[in-house]
Amino acid sequence: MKRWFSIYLQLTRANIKRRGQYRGSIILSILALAILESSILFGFFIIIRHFQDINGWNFYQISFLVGLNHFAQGLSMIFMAHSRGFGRLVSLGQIDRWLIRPIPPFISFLGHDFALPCFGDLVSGSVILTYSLAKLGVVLSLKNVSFLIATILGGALIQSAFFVIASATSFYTEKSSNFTSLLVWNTKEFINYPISIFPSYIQIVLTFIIPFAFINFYPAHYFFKTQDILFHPVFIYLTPLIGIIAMGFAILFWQRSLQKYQGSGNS
Amino acid sequence: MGCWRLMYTVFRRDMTYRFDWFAGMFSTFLTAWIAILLWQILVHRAHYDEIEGHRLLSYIAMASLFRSLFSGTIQDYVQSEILTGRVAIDLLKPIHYPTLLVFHSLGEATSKILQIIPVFFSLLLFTPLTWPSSLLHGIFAVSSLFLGMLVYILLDIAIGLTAFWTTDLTGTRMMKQAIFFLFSGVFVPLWYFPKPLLFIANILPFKAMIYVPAYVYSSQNRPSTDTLWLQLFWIMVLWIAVISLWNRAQNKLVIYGG
Repeated sequence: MKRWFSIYLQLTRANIKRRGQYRGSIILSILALAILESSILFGFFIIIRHFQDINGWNFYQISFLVGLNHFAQGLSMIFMAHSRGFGRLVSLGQIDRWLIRPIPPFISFLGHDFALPCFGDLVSGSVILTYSLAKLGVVLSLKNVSFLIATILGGALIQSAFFVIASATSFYTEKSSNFTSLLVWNTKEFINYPISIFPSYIQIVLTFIIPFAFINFYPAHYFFKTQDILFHPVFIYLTPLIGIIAMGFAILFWQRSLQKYQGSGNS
Repeated sequence: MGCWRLMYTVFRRDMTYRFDWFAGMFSTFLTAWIAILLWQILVHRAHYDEIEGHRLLSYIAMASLFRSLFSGTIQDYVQSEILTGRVAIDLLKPIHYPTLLVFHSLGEATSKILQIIPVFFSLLLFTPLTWPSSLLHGIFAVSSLFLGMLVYILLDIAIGLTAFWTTDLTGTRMMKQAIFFLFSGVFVPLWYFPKPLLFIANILPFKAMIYVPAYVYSSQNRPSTDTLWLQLFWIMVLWIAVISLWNRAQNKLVIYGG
């Protein structure tokens, strides 16, 4: 276990060096992520300016949802960004070499890339979070901050679990970029909004099947009270637990799928 | 002739992975549907009159339906060609390289257009999306969608060609997507924009990609050719940019790998 970890660290160090070659691009990406998040917030600002609120949620509450979502996503993407192009790696036969390394292939998968640009999400995410919390009058006490950190870690785990699951499907289908975006990106669009605006079957899916609502919607109620908490108030505290369960399941699924992998490509 | 062949090949390539193609179709449906659900609530609470509400929802439905057409991979293609040195092989082909890239993108777009047609009909069936108010609106919307896609493709290629200097496009691409998201009108219709933001939207090409066709589709007014001219203007500007970038890039080319 310790040896795997040190191998992972070495892979990561190499990746940082590789990524560090394109310094200009990293700076641009960080800037781009900041612009993307401001684009989303600008959009909500325009909507709320015109329609007063979204189902009772004001602009700062929505900003908090967006900030929490993007912070967790950025944290997860740093380790998981390559799952987006994983199908391509599989179809080129590039993962075959992972199978003959004397470490578990999953470690090779984790260590394949380390996406420095995604630190941008952390920067702009924390700006949005602190700004919206300040505007909502939430004090950054020790208790609040530790709840926030636990939530973010749990949220990042939930997010990563679905990256892992989506990339595992590449072992069956070879190309799965659209499937990844279906499972991760499209579904995640729901949680930029308070999920209470959606029909109940979507709420059920986002809570019990693809539990993205735990990334931001439920924990948000810890910091401010809106009248639309769904199902049960205990859900506010469950994010870290759900994260660990989801990740465990995802790793099992990844391993099982790898057993089914039959090899491909000719490079 | 060679160009059409290339376009067809790319189209075939994208259609090979059927599972992924259907996933893409479903994801397009989901995107449009999320947007419609959100705006339905907003319209409902703001007590819009029925015509106004339907017009807005049609706009939103079409804009998010079109969105999947504006997600080509030509930038990744150019970048990986340069990084691996494969671009040398494309240069040997007796086709002007930017033209080749245009047809490559058109091939990709074709498989996506096939994807959105069934989604369009299911949106008509299951959501408040309605047919355009006349046949003329429909024809204008389709032609302006096509022009909008050309604007997008040319912008993408222009950005892709900058990889000859920078070799890594991750940052630029993300930046483009961020600006596209707000100023193409895919998220919020441009008519809600406050003055300063609207001004920025008007001088950027992104408006010509999604806002124009979706607006033409959903509007009640007689469609005018002004919007088409705007799109043609952008196509010309971007094509000139692509050509001049390409002329410079040729001297800049270094082949890595082998």
